[in-house]
Amino acid sequence: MTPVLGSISLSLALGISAVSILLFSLFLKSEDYRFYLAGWRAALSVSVLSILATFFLLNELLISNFDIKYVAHYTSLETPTFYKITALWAGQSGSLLFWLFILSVYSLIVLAQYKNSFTKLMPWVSIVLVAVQSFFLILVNFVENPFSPTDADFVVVNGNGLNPLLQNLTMAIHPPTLYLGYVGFTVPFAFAIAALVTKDTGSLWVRSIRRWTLIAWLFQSGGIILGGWWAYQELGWGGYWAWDPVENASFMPWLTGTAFLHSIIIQEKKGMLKTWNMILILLTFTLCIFGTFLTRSGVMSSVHSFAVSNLGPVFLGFIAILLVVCTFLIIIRFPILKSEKQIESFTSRESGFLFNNVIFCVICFAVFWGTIFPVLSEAIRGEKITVGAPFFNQVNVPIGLMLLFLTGVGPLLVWRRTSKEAFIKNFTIPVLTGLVIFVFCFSMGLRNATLISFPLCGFVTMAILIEFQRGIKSRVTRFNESFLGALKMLISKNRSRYGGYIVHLGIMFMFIGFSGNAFDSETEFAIKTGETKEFGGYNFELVNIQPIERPNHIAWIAGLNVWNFHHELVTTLFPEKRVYFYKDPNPDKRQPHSELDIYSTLNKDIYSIFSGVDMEQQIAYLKIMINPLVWWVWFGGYVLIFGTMISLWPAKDSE
Amino acid sequence: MNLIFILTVMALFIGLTWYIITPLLSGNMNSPITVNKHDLNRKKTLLLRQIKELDMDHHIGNISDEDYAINRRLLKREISEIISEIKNVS
Repeated sequence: MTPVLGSISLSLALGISAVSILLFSLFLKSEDYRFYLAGWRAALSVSVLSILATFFLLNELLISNFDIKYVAHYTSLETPTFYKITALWAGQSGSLLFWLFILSVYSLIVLAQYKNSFTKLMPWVSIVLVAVQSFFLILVNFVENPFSPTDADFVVVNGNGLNPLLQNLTMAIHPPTLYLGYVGFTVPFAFAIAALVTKDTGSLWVRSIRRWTLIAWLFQSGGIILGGWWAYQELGWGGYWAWDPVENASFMPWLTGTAFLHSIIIQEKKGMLKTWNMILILLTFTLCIFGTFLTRSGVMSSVHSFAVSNLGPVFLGFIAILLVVCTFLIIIRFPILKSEKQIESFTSRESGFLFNNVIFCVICFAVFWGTIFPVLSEAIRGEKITVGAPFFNQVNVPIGLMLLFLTGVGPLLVWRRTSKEAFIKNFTIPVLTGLVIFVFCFSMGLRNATLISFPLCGFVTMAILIEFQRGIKSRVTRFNESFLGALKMLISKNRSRYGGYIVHLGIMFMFIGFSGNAFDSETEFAIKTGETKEFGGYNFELVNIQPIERPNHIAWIAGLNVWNFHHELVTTLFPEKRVYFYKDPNPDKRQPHSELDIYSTLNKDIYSIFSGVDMEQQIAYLKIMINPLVWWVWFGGYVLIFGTMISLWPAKDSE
Repeated sequence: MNLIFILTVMALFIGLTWYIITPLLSGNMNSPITVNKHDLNRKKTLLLRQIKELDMDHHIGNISDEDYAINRRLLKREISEIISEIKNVS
């Protein structure tokens, strides 16, 4: 009965979404508040029904109702309860329903929070939110229904089970976090469309949606970092970013979203870049939909799989509608989007922001081009030309370093024009810091991109510290506060700005981690129990190989002592070789999987992968990697999230 | 499908329809507020915050004296207008 209720909820939600849009339209035409109230209630109902449908599917997953195709495909009786829940976003139809679920939660909050404010904008905001919901409702009702029954003429007693790679805590958190980011951009998008339609394109809407944009950006950033963490912990190739199309799909809206967060500061303070900001936020949302399209349509594996996928054309149609509507609105509103002022000097903070925006967009375009190039080449020439990580690195490393440079330059520039004196005063210490680090790196023999990146990290850190120091000094003089008191008050009274600087520090730490890639090294060897192998300044001793049986897999665990050259035990690693579905009589269904073990320190990670085992000979086949500075990537991620949360925290206006 | 199920679905449908159409059954209602006090107060808070940031920017040397004076005057004028509007709405 529950699956039918789920289907009915989705159908009802779709019907009511059409009613809601109609009621809001009647309100806009007649200004009769009854229509607004009824439309508002209908919009609430759409969200509640969509949330309800998600809980119905969750219930079916938990009770292992294999009569539903989705449940049979992504869970089995052996799947642990926690992963039965995470199976909700493991497959196509489930993840589309999950998209709808998150959007419905966001919509409920927006509808409830702003029911009686933004009187001019809210009807249009509601229409846009419901319209996006309708699109996903069409998908889950007609294209990929998560409640479809199993296509079998026999009773399905057990399901296929969840992919072992997805049976990982990080992977359980990563997709929802990323989805919260993707979907979160719908709210600023809705406000942007509403502002364009109602011609209310001043700075109020921008300021009002900054928090929503930051929330989406926070989740998007968190999702990307968690994805990198998962890849590093689980995939066993030793890296965290492979420029895979799915990774790129999440990175592109992040780039434009970040550019937007920077450029709205100019609109708030100077009334400039209004058109640019509109384009950025509309583009960010379109890229979110494009990202979902890339990951869900199958287009990246082959254009031919796209042709047989029902989702691809529907998504493409929706993207086309989005582009047409957004372009049309921007063109007709172009006269009122003109800047109130012009950038007067190359050496102004406004220019810094503009350059930073240009760089974000250039990176986004490079990533976009590299991502769709294989599809285009296959569609046009019939031959798939894959653009790999070397292309992305070659293009993005120099641009990324330029961006890092601007992260430091921005806070040192003065609004409107930086005088020669101010320029010298502000830049001297950061530039000297960068130069000292450059000389040190050069003397240490560094000759690659790290020779630029480490000094730039020093430059950025010093620029941010100077900005903090100036703020603290100002408070100490004005309010007679102690140093620590001034620091605390400086941040709490200017959360947005100083939270932003903390985010910049996080990015700088991440760049330190990225630079470590240049020094990665790896080896592979077969090792017998009791034997020792030497690599990267360490001795690896295989102590034992222990088999162990767990509820959903069998594992062999290698006990690997790591000694340094002073004969001191550094750590003991326990990489595992696992086989999932090992009880399945069909050997093809058994899935081998290597569970890594990593010893992580500030300066390097020792990364061990158990590739194969010969129990008779007591031989383990291992891959060892020494990855310098990776810890800083994750640390930078924490700092970034911390800084964003400071920016998000509501400000007190008591002073 | 049993009777309870059909009744549940019908109850859901009728309940939702009733919830949505109730406002339409009441008398004609004009939008209760055309110029929203919430929006004006929000605007005022945002502008006050902007002045505070401007003061700090000026104090730490991120903005010239001339720009500071012009921007502060403009923001103050904007706030005065909004305060008058709030008074009118009240």
